[in-house]
Amino acid sequence: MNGPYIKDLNNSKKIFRNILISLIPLLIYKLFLTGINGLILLLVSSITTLTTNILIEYIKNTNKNYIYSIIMGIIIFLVMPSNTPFMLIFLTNIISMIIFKFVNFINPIAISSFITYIFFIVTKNEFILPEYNIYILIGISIIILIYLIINNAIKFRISLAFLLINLLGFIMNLELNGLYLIIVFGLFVIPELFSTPNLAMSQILCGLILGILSILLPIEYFILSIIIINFLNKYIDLNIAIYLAN
Amino acid sequence: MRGKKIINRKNMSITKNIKKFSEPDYVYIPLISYNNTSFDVKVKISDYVLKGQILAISDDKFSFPIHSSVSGTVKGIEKHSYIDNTLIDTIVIENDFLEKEKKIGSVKKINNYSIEEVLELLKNAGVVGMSGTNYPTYYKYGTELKINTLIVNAVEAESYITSDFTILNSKTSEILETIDALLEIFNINECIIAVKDFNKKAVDDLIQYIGSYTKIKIRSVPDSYTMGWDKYLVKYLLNLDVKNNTIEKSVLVNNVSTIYSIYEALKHRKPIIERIVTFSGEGIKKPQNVLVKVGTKVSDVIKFIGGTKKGNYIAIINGPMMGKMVDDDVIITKNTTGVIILKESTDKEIECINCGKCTNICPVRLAPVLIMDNQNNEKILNKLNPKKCIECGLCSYICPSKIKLRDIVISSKEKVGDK
Ligand code: SF4
Ligand code: SF4
Repeated sequence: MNGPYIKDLNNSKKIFRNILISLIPLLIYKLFLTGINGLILLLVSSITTLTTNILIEYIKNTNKNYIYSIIMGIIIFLVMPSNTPFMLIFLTNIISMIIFKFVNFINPIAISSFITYIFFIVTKNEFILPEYNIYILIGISIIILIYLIINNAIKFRISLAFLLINLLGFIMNLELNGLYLIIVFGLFVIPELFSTPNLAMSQILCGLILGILSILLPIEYFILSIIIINFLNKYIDLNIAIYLAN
Repeated sequence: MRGKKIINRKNMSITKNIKKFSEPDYVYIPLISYNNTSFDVKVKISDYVLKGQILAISDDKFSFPIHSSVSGTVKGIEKHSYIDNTLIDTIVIENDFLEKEKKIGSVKKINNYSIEEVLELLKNAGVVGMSGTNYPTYYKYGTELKINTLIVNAVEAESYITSDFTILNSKTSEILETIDALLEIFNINECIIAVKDFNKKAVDDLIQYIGSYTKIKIRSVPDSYTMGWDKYLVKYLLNLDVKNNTIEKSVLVNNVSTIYSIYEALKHRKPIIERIVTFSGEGIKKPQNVLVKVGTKVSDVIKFIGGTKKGNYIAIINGPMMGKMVDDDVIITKNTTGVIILKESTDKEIECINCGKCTNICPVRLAPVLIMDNQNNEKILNKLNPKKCIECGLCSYICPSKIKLRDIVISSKEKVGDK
């Protein structure tokens, strides 16, 4: 057995638990705004991600990582329009979890939300987002961000870079994608662990690029760009790593 | 600068008095100097040897003579475990407990030596890097380059280990006297003693003594692991980027225990035959620092200080971050800083969660997770430059999935070899 013989007290479970805790304020706020319909949507979303995950892991006979699939289910609920049909969230979550379990560098939340937003566009339905109080939303977001940074739980550099670009966009009076979506995407969707780069420099780059794209593109294309960038992340990370190592 | 405040268990072994263990029945003098293990043995079975007597010599340029740490009778040559777990030859001597010493010539004042005399003395006394490197000190000072700054490294980055702390606190005036002499003899402009923020007592003591030594400064450095690494110290203290060796920037870095060994060599013409070793960890009944003779079996010292607690414990030599797990047979050498007895870890390795912590902590800016992912792609592996790894263990320490990244990087290092 080789060292080190002491280890940091942090572990994967604690990291996932911190993400879960950080989701609570926004989750409660969205449930408060969307009522019973929201609660059903949340249950459908998280139960689908969890059961799909259990089934796939059973078939693949791999490590059981249930808590992360529940996290995915909750974030998908936060991103989805309040009027998303239950069947749609059920199906998109199954598709995204299957893809994620086999190609884990693609953001499952982005897949689910991309299909959903395209559905709204194709069916010419208007999607409804919660009518939030701007001060409460900003307050909640600041608390979450501080909590995540203190606990070093997410790749916070991506979030910071993304939110900073959007703040600049706001100051420059550019048309943004709506504060609610910016916050949910910035805090929880784009820094998703498995689909993002590892190096600090690539994380900042990723956050900046996605921040710019979120200003330039309508929501559905912005989500598509997240998926496309997922494919580039490994390449960017590897090249920056080679540059730094030499 | 990258680093991490690691779990600190130094307080466990800090005691007022240093116990001396001078009575092992047998000592097993290791035939090793730096990397060399081929020696011309000068004694035979049944020979009577004095404490400090030369037992073996070698022609290797990094070598120094091997001395006996006790007086007694040579019993033979046996293989025993070295600190890296390899088996090496040792000369077995039965201790007669008389401590009969080899007579030494006249002793001069510590600063009254020429450079050549100091180098000769350091070589003959077998003074080496006492922090674990075992690098011959005479070779360091024998540089043809001008030394502008001497950094005395008393940082002691590893958790649990307090042997440097102990020597700095107990031999403060001797250490300052030696530094002053080295500055004068080698015409070095200044000396910086680097101490961890944590070691407030040492800083206070040094300040008390330092008054008359105008060229010696004390600097405290952050309590961050790898801060004790020479290149980091030079960067932090002097803002100089070192590529290969600190001497390229006219800086010489010496460990504080090595400075005390230099004192013994210059002041008393004593070879290095004993050292302070930390015995600590949750498994030791009475953690403390012990003055031990080179060649003593670790198990003998542990018995002497009260033994270990019951349970599943492992012994680690030279610190929990960079040290190695050893067996009972291991012997104390000049570069043994500590023996730590810890509970066997029950952490299970799980799948990487891609958190990026390992890549953002590596002090030499490697990407351990990418090295792991590209184990089977030699071309990319080579580009990721695992050869740069200093084996500090921070990546394994920080990994929330408890993946043994250091081992993976080390094996990749071997895989890419000299390509
Ligand atoms: S063990 Fe090597 S790869 Fe790991 S952090 Fe230390 S230097 Fe970097
Ligand atoms: S620290 Fe461990 S879990 Fe995190 S990226 Fe590195 S290998 Fe993966």
